[in-house]
Amino acid sequence: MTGKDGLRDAEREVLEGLAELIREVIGETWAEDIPITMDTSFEQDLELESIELVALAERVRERYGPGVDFTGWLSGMELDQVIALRVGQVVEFIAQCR
Amino acid sequence: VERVELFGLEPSVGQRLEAFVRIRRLEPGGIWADMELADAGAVAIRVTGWHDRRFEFDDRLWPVLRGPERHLLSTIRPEGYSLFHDTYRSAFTRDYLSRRFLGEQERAALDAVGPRRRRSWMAGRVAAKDAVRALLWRRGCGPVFPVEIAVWNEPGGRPRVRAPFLDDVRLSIAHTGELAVALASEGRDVGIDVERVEARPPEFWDVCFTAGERRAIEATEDPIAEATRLFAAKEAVAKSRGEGLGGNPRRLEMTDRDGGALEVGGRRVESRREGDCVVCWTVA
Repeated sequence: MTGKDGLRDAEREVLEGLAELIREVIGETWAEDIPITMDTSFEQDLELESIELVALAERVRERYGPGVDFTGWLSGMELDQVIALRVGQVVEFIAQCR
Repeated sequence: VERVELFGLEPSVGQRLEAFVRIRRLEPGGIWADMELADAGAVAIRVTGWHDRRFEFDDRLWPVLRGPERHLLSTIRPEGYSLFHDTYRSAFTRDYLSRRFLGEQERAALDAVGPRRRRSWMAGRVAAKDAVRALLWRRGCGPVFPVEIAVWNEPGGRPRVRAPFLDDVRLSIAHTGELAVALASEGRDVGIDVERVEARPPEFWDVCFTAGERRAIEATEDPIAEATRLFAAKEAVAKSRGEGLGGNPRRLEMTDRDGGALEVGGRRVESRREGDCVVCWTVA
């Protein structure tokens, strides 16, 4: 099923789950207010530090199981791709793996 | 000023009077005082409720205010990196810092930084410019203002620097919490990282380390500190290569370990504790 926002139900569910993990990793009060959408950039919008990206990878593995190899997927990317990474790409990756 | 009272004849220009100042109230943000000017024991002028703002200057900031071209705000460690403990909070001091340390283009770059990274970005610039100035001074250069050194980032994040007198200065910057560190070198790529030593879930370290690395960490007296140190070492090496860890610290493996020093991806890394943080940097 595809909703009004153009997202399939499965993607919307992953987006909500991933946004929750991101907020946990950032762990600051302002992170509660910032909108996290498919277009949100990890570097530009969330300003995620290196160690926070690793912490996110750990939480993704914890929630979605070892079948979702977020770290392995990231390591296949070039640096400029990691910098340009958007939440939507991770959502699609997780949705595909499941 | 609340009130000024004049008694008797107005003193003439150049006349010497005795001054008495009583501090009535002292707070972090302000000072209140009463003052009397006396002529031969008789009060001539009384100023009541004189109020002035206090600024957040301390023993480190004051010399930089007086002679920014001759003083560093950071500490230079014997190992060569600069360390800036950024405790300055007031808007006035932050604005002052940005004006003393940043050029016009750099201030525009600061305006583009999001709220989350603003403070640490500024602290990193202070540490970076101090590291470069210390390097210049070791080479025998005279006074250098922080604004004479330009620091900017390549699209991939790697910092670049343009300094007077030296053609090929390479730079690495890192920060966590209130600490910023930077390492500058001539003609050689360098990397530095600082991380807070804290317990993290085992899964976190599984993401970071290979099985061999985990065994080496577990065999040390303080595995939490050692794990953090190895993570920072990997980050420092990745930065010396102009990359980040890209979310996968296992990409760079520890290849040797000899007490204090580590070798990661073939590059030698040294480390030092700074309070509850650990700093790692690449050496030749």
